[in-house]
Parts: sequence; C-alpha cells; structure tokens
Amino acid sequence: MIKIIWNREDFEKIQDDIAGQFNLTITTDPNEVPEHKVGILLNEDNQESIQAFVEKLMLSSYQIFFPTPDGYLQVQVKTVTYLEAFGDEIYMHFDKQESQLIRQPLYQLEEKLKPYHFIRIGKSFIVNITKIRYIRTSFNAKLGLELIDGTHLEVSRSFVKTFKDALGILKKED
Amino acid sequence: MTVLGWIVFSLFSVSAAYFVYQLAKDIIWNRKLKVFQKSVGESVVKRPVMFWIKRSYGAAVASLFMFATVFSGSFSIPNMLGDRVLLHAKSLSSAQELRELLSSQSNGYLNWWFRDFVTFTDAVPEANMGAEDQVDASQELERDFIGTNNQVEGVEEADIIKTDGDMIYYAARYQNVIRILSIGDGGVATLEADLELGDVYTDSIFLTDEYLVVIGYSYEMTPYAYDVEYDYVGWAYTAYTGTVIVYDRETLEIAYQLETDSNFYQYRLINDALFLVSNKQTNQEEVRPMLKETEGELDEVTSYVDYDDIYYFDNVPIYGMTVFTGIDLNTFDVNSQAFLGYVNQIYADDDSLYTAFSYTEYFQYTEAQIGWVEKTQIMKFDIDTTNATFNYVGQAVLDGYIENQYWMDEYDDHLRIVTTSWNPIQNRLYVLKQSETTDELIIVGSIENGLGKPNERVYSVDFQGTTGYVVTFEQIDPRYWIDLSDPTDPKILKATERPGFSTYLHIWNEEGTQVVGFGYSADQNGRINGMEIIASNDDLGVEDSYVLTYQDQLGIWSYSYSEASYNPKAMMISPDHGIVAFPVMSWSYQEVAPDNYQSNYVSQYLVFYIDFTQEDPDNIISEPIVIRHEASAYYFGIDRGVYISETGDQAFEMIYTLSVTGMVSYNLETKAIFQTINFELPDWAKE
Repeated sequence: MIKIIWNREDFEKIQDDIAGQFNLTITTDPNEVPEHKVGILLNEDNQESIQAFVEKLMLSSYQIFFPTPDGYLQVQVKTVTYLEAFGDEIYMHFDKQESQLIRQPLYQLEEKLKPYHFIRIGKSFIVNITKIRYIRTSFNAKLGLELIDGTHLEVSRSFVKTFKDALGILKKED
Repeated sequence: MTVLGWIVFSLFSVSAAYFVYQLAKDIIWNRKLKVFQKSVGESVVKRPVMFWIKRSYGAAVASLFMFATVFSGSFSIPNMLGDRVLLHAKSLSSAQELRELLSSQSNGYLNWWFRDFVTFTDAVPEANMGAEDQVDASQELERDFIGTNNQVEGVEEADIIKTDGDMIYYAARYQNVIRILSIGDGGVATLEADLELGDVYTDSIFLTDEYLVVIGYSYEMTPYAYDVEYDYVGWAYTAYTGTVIVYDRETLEIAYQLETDSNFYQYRLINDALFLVSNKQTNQEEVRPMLKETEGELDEVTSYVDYDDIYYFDNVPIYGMTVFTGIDLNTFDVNSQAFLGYVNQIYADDDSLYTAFSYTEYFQYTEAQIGWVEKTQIMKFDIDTTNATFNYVGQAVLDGYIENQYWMDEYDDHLRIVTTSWNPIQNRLYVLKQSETTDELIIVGSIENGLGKPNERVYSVDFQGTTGYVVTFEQIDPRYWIDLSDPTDPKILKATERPGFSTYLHIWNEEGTQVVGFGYSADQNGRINGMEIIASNDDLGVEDSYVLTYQDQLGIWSYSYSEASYNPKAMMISPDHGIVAFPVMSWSYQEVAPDNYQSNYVSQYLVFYIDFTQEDPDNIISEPIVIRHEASAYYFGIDRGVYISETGDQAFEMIYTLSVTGMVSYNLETKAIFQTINFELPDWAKE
C-alpha cells in the first residue's frame, strides 16, 4: 500500500467524482495524518490505477491565470470544456455553460493547456478531451464531438491525425 | 436477379458496408476515448443507448433493404417461357423437389382435394358432340365416306375404327388385333389382314395417308401375397406402358414405336402432328417421364423429360404427372413436357390445345363442417402442327366442373367454356383470353346466372361461331341460345323447352338453326322413358323426334342402350349426307313362368336419314334402317358403322357395321344386307 497525504478540502471537492472509480482507503486519523489533511491509501500493485488517480488529483487542483479585459482570471483547468476563437477574441467555455473572454492568442493557449489534455481540433477550437462525451465519425473524414454540456464541435480534417495521436489510437487505426 | 436488381442490391450493400464500417470506427474511437479518460482519472461519461441506436440505424436500414432486395423477389429474373412471364406455372429443378411436392400432396393436401375419378375405360374414346363430319372431297376416285365424328374440322380424333373410303381399320374390342378390310369394286369388302398387336391393348387408332397409328398400352401384373386368412390371391396392376405403334400401311411393318411409362388417354392428330396426353404414375423409382423410341431397324433410344420441362402449380392439386407428347409423323421427332396435376378433357383446334382438369376443393366451412366447391383448371398450349411442338401459354382456375370436351370451344382466340356445379347447383359460361405477357388466361366475359332453372345442371353444350347452345335439365330440357358475338358481354338470347334432355348436340346448318340432339326422352315429371334422337328446326319452330321406348307390357320388359349416349364417336353423323347412325343394344325379358324370365339380347345398328326440307315435320327423322349382328352377349355387339359410297360405273352406297364377331354391310340402294364376313374369334369368345 502507498499512502498519499492531500489537502482535505481539495480532496473533498473531488470525492464524489471519484467514488467507485478507484479502490481507496481514506483516513483522517490525527495519529496518521496532519490536521486539514487526508490520508489516501492505494494498492501499489495496480500501477495504472495509481497513475490515473494521481493525475486526477493533480488536474483537480491545477489553476492557471489567464489575461482577460478585466485583468487576470484564475481558472481551475478541470472546469474548462473548450476554447473558441472569433478573430482576436478567444472565449473560454466552462462546464456550467459559462464563458469568459481571454486576451491571449490561441496558439499560446494551446501550448499552455496541452499538459492538461487540451488539444487543438481546428483553426479556432481547442477542446478538453476529458469533457468529450462521445465521438462521431462522419462521411467527410471529419470527426464530430459532443461534450458533456451538449456542445457539438467538429475536428477538422487536418487535425484528425493530431486528435488520434492524443488519444493514442493513431498507430492502431491508421 | 435482374441487372437493375444487382445495381440496387450493390448500392444497398455498399451503403450497408459503409455504415457498418462507420459504426465499427465509432465503437473503436469511443472505446479509446473511454480508455484515455480513464487513464487520466476522469470519470467516464456513459454514452446514451440512443446514441448507439441512432448510429446503428443506417447500417440496419441498409442491411434490411439489401436482404429485402434479395428475398422479396422484386428483382428476381422472372420465370420465363419464351417471351411469357410465368406467374402460375413453376418448373422443377430436381428429383428431390419433385418428390417433396408429391409427398406433400399425398400426406396433407390429398385430404383437401378430390379429383373427378376417371377410370381407364372412361379414357377410351370419349364423347364427341358437335363434331364435323369428315367428307373426303378430294376423291377423284369418286369414293365418299363418313369418318370419325370430330369436334373441330381438321382436328382428327382417335377412335376404334378408321376409314379412308378404300380401307377400313377396326380395333376389335377385347382383342389385341386390328381387322383390316379393303372395300373393292361394288363395295365388296375383303378381310385383308388381322394385325396382331401382341401384348398391346388397343385404345384407339389414327389413319394418315402413309401410316396406321395404334395407341394402346401393355401392363405388367404383380401378384399380391397369398392371404391365408381371406383365402385370397390378389393381383395388382403395377406398371402401364403407354405405347404408340406406327405401321406402314403398305407393308404393315412397324415404322416407329414409342413406349412410355405413362398411359395415353387423350389425343389429336392435326396435319401429321400427333399430340398425346398421358398420365404417369409417380410411385416409380424414376420420377421423370420416360420415352423409349424405336424407329425402323434402328436401335432403341431411351430419353427422359428434363426436370426443367416439368411444371407445377401452387394452387392446383397434384394427383400425379400429366405428360404432353408431340410426335411429328413425318420425321418421328418427339417433344415432351410434363405438368404435375391432371387433365380430364382436352380441346384442340389447329393452333391451340386446351386442357381441363376438374377437381373438388374442400375447405373448413364452419368449425364442424367441411365445405366443398368444384373447380376446373384450364391450361392453354400453342401448338405447331408442322413440327408437332407445343408451348404452354397460360392457365386459369374456374368455378364448376366440365363433363366433356364439347363444353369448350375456341373462336377468334377466345375460349368459351361452360361449367356446372353441384354445390351450389349453378351453371356458368366463361369467355377466356390469353394474357399477352404472362401465363394467365383472363376471364373477359361471363354468364354467372340465368343458365338453367333452379336445380338444373348442364347436360350438353355446343358452339357454332358466335352462338352457344346449352342444355340444362332437371325435369324439363331448356335449351339456351347464347349470343357470344361480343366476347366481353355474352348474353342469353332465348330458351326453348321440351321434356327430356340431350347429351349431345350437333349443329346441322351453318346458321345454327337446325340442331340434331341425342339423349333421353322424359315425361312431364322428368321421368326418363327412353333414348331419343331429336331434330329441331328453329327457323320454322318445328321438331321431330324418335324414341327408343322402354317397354313394360304383357310380361315383356325391354330396354335399349347405346354407347353414343356417352361417346358421340360411336355415332356416325353427317349433315352433308343427312345421316345419323349409331349402335344400339337391346335387351328384352319375358316371364315364361312365374319368376322365370327368358332374356333376349339383340345388337342393332340404326341408320336415320335427317331431312329438314320435309314438309311434314314428323318426317324430318326417317324410320330407321336396322342392321343386326348375331350376338349372344352385349360385348359382341356392333361397335361402329362406316358409310362408304362410290359413283360411276361401279356405284354403290353402303353401310359397313363391325363387331367382335364380324362385318355386316348393308346396301342403302337395295335396302338389304349385302355381305357378311365372320371374324376368327379368340378361344374365349367361341363358347
């Protein structure tokens, strides 16, 4: 077993989300973990599960500052569904049907968000892969995406390869 | 499948393949997405079932259409026979299919279909009414004769006697022999030969300029095992061999012989093209009809009708196999086709042959009652009398049944047919025309009601051009005149009534106003009191009749009977000669002591002159000339009579009557018996 000590408040935010996903033992015993912390016990035999859980923890707490017309906005990365460009204006969409105008070029945002499983799917779109509900193949070699908030996006033909690559299915598929 | 069918099928197949490919890709992509999201610790959003249903929709619909294209048969290449689409007749593909069809009928459907049973003796020369007399007009020898009573001019029907004016060929009943007589100067007959047929039983003969055609059969009998309990040894017919033997008339050598594994029972000879209908037993190992031919000195050749030349119908009971065979008597080329089903009657003219199969169809009337109706299947064949070939054209199933070939007639490419039925008693007339594109005979006109009073069924039918004549009977004989000039709208013109009924009508003049009928007389209550010949002149509204009355007086009871009452070919009839003649068997019983009767059998041949020009209508039918044969039993009685005359130096006018025992000729000029020839009788007949 390995034990991860994590901020109790942060953990409680994702606790419902991960319920049933991972085989965890949680402890808040003051003899084992400090105050305001939580002890998370994982079976070390399942490396994949540990890696996924850690990534989940990391993503849940990542926060990035983005320039907006009103100043910098601190954004929790996991709440972003996709980004959309209208000329110079970049809109960042959140999973609660909210959006925010961002003052930063899309290519920079692409680089900035890449580590958090964001991927460019068109000249004007970057999508959070973890927010895709399903993928729909279509006649014209494009891909249709439906996000968990019901938004429909399209992966342009020239970005399909990148998209496949990101999902790790390029070699098997092509 | 048609080219269009293949195109449609290909389109649906490509679409189905594409949708399936898309669906597979969707499944793979989303599975990858799920794996990816799981690997980064994101809870996987469950895809709605509706998504997959929708994504499967295209593949499912395209696949459905693809299979529908194949299995609906919409694009199947139509079953063609020549340029005709077969909607009803289906050809076989294998022995297996044939056996399955026969098996399905014998196990199940047989309970629901009934055939009007035709015995083998019924199949022997059958009734012929309304026939044209055959007068050999091309006689430069000035010989004249009356031939077989044929239904259609130019279409020769088989009989047990044939003549060309110079020779008489007589297939004696119950003997495998053909008596051949020549008619010499002054009408003197000479027995030229007895043509022994061996084990072949004669059914009928035909005569051409060159050949004598004998149609008959042989059979093998297999004994049943001896049954001790019933003290009985039975015998069973196992296999009939239908045989056609063509003899050269000059040499009496066999020019050609055809043996089959079926019974011939209907035939027509048209311009040296012989058309035969036979019934094959289907309980044999080889289910295909067999044809074994021997031509002259050549070796025997055996062939079989191909499976794809054997047809069947879904809606008609299969009682066996009916084989149609055409023989070109010039080349001895043979053509055969077969149908699963049965044929009771045929009608032929010089370019068409119709068959009729009457059967009873049963159905569940109520929960406790079985209902039944009579049906008749009509098939039409185009015939080529040059090559003796025939092609199936179409079929129709009609209500009611028919009793003989005279109930059918073709005029101007329309078949007119009269049917009658018991359940309910109803008489109908149909006019049928073949479809131009499919194997259907279409009813273009009909009379469903009005033929016959309540409870009256049809007894005889004849057609003359655009007029039809139908006799119905229960207690009185209404004869209906039917206008068929518009095939789509046949109309009853009028009806006349008289007691009794005719089983045979012969139209005497072209206008159809003079009719000779043969049948039974009856009193006003419908009680039959004798056989009767009538001659009615509709122009003048007059009629004459002659009744062979039953007698029951002074201790003598007698009655008469004639084969002509059911077989008009037994009748010699010619409007041109004004003659009607037929054989009559008469029995009388006299009570010589209480409960002790002495019977007396007389075989007679009656010759009537018919003269519609007589001023006194009672003289239209003359008193009969009676020619008698010595006969001790009815089966020795007179079978047929033949009229032959010659003008010139050696002029004579003679009636030749033939029976098992001999030939008796009667000189019509001297009104006296002219000559008697006794035939050599077989041992069984000598006692």
